[in-house]
Amino acid sequence: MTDPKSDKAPLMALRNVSQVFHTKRGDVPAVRDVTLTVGAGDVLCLVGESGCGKTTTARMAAGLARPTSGSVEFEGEDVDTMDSRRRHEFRRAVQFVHQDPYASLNPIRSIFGTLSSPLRRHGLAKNRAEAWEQAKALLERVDLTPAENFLPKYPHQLSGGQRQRVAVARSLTLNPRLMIADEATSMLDVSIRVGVLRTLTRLRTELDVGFIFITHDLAIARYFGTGGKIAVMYLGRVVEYGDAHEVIDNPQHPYTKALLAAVPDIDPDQRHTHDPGLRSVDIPSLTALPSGCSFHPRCPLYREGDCDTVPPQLAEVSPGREVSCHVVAGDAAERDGAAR
Amino acid sequence: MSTQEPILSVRDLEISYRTGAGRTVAAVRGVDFDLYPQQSLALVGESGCGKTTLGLGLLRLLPKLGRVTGGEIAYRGRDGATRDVLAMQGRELRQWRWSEVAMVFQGAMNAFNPVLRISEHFADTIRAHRVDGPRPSRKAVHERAAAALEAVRLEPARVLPSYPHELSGGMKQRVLIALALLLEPQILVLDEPTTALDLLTQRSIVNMLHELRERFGFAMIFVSHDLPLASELADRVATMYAGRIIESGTVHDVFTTPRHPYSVGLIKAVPPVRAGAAEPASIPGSPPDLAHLPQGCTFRARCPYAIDECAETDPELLPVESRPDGLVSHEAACIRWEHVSLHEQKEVAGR
Amino acid sequence: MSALAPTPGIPRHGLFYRLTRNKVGVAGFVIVGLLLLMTVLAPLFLDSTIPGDAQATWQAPSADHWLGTDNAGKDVLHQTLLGGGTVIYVGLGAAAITTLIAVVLGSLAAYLRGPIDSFLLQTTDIVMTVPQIVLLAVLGSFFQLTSPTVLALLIGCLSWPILMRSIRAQVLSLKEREFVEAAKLLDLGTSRVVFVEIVPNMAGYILINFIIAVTNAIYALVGMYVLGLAPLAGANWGIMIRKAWTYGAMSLPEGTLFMMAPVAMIALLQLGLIMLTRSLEEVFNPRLSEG
Repeated sequence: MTDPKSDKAPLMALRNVSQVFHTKRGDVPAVRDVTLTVGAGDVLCLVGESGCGKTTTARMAAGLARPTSGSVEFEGEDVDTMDSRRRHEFRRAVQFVHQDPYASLNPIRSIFGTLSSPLRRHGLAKNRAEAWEQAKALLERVDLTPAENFLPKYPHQLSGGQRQRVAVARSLTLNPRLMIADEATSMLDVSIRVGVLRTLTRLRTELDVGFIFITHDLAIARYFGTGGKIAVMYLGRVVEYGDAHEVIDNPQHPYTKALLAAVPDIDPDQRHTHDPGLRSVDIPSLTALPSGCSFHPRCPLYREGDCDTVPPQLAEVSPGREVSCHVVAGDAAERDGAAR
Repeated sequence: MSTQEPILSVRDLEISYRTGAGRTVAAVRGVDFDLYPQQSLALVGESGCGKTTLGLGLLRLLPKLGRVTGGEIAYRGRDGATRDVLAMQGRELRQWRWSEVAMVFQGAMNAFNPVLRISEHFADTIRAHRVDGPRPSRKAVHERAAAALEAVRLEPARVLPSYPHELSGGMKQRVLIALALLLEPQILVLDEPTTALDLLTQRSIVNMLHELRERFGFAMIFVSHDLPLASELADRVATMYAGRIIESGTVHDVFTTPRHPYSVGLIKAVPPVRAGAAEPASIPGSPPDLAHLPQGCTFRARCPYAIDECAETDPELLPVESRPDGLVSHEAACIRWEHVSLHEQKEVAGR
Repeated sequence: MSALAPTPGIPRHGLFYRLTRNKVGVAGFVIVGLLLLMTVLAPLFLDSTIPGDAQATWQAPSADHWLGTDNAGKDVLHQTLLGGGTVIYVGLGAAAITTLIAVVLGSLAAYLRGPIDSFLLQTTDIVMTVPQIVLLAVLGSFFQLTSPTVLALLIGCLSWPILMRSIRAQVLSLKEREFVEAAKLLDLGTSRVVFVEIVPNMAGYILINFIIAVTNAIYALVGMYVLGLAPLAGANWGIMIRKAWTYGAMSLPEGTLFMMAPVAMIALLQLGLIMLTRSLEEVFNPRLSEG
């Protein structure tokens, strides 16, 4: 999935990463053989249901978890073999925004305290006055104005949306190159979600920050992923990958199709039949994955043959679109054959 | 929806919370509505708007610090007799809950006692709420539990002997619905019933609720912040803001021709999954502090339609389209409702 | 529960309000405050040598001696008023040492885990299994335990393991919180993350445990005097009890007050300290203050 046009290494690349958790109930393969890249100023949305491995993938990219196999590369360099200086650089360049703005801010530290400690620690601000000015600028960048009013406050004095903006401002203190946002807007009220997303989009366009954006909400992925990519994950694997709008507007993988069919629509006139057409509602357990394609027990396109014996690989079915499905890939190959 | 009597009539309901030092904050103010048999009403709004408090208040299930401080709730039983819900006490109240009105709480994970098997949860519910007569036998309990589980498409043989942690989130949510429907209530109150669930699981619960409603004919009150979901589950909607219902009507009224600027704002704030839909926009500002409500319309400060007059009175629900008894009228608490439109805003935003 | 979460707009009550809303706690503050005042003021007004009068031993209460005299004819009231200093000093000192060791080791063990954690846990096992009183007896025979500072050090260094373990448990759960992960992501450094981000979140817990450590240290000190493990130099509540016991004050009707006065003072101090933790809990545990 590397962009062949650019010679430079991508900002962040996950190469065949897997993560296996060893638990009492057996090994849980949370992520299996995932390869993804993000460039500066680009956005990659990871979507899927709980347990699909999107959060684990993001944590590996952020260096919060070490892959069991495969490698995480930052600007072309394997994070695992970096020297200490480069590691610290990587640590500061890749920041993470948590889901819950109520848990991610230290309740006993003022907003200024929260923002100033990384600035002071890493020598970006030499004294309190400098830190104050920089913290103010950071709050303005995330649209918390007037910033002086917010700096002395404590998290409990702020609303959820304001807290999440503070969390974003904090992750900006060290001038990151890549931000990883884990369901960063899912706990916010509907009326302010779009505002926070706009702020994040501005960071992308104005500061050239790359984004890995994790969400279960396809509409949010389509909105925030505009101009970027979406990777749909299911049981630890990427099943579909392509341009954000393309994937949502014209899904190819039967799982993506089922997800989109299940999205409720606010407009009662637009309602279509909401039957995702699945053969089974239950998600298989990660400890006892189905043979072949993990989706085959639920898949409406299931065919005898390869589906339950051979795990499908991600393959390009049309320019820029990769799908991991025997049936879809087979149909695409047939079409190509017919076209020739 | 025929010209029947309402089964639940709420008049001028006010619910307050004590906040310490003898102060109280009204979380629900002046709420009026009639719920007719087999209707499905969605209470929508953002956190702190009072929708959950209202849902709990209707069942007299408020937390310790909350209290109904005014108004009336009248319930009309199957026998046609009207009962004052606020006057019910002790045993009567307990029996009324569950056998007449049942609730499915938010967060299926925490609603179960982790050390009891699912079968014991069913037995407890049946025994605790039995009206009169002898203690039901083990066999009778099992049969009723099995029937209830089958109604939500779960296998009784597998689910009944399980402990709650052995079930998935979606299964637990279905068991909760089965428990709520066990005594065939007339009204089912659901508080964010699918919030923690995955999309496909949520879809199956939504489809199942439609089926169950058709089969058992209960009325439903559905509390949610998720507008598209509310649109799918309900046939009428009440939008709440700062403790009041600010718009009420059919799903069509509220979601396609909203007449309150807040409803318009909420709808426009939801990014669409469909291509070609309007660009979403958030509502500026944040909801008012319930302890210090501003004079006049509480939405005024965030409202693009506000004029000087809005500072004077907090408008009552004004009729937008009146319909005969038993049918839902479209009402909005906005003096400028005639100027408010979803589409006009779209054009403005598009320019 | 949308409406039930505390609204950010509702102001929190002031510290003073929450400190004073529990009546028992307020009474505790008053008791401890008065006892501290007494210990500070008494040496300024009274002769700290307390002259004995060999002619007037075991006197019953009178206008001259409100609480009577002891075996050496010393005024019991004087001794009682002056005798709090050492006890309170050792109590506070030992508790401070205990708390400091427990917080530093407990939080580092929990945060760093690995070999450091195992080593510290094994150390606590050893310290906890050695009977304190026996160890004190042994140490008492090697060192002169006349200095209150040495006593405080000794008691403090022996009583940290239990608190250390509970601090460790608290940090184990706190360090999973997202704000700690956020601090790590900002590369703030271990000591900063532990002592600036994590530990202050336990301030209430630590303060309450400090008070409990004070009461425990006082019991340990008095126990040492009563068992004769520390030399009976000077006059303090512990020494008074020991003397009353050795000289058979219980069997003399006039000696009852000599026995009871220090016991009552210690009991009052301990009661005051325990009561005052109720107010502290009110401040640091917001769930209690809702009721």
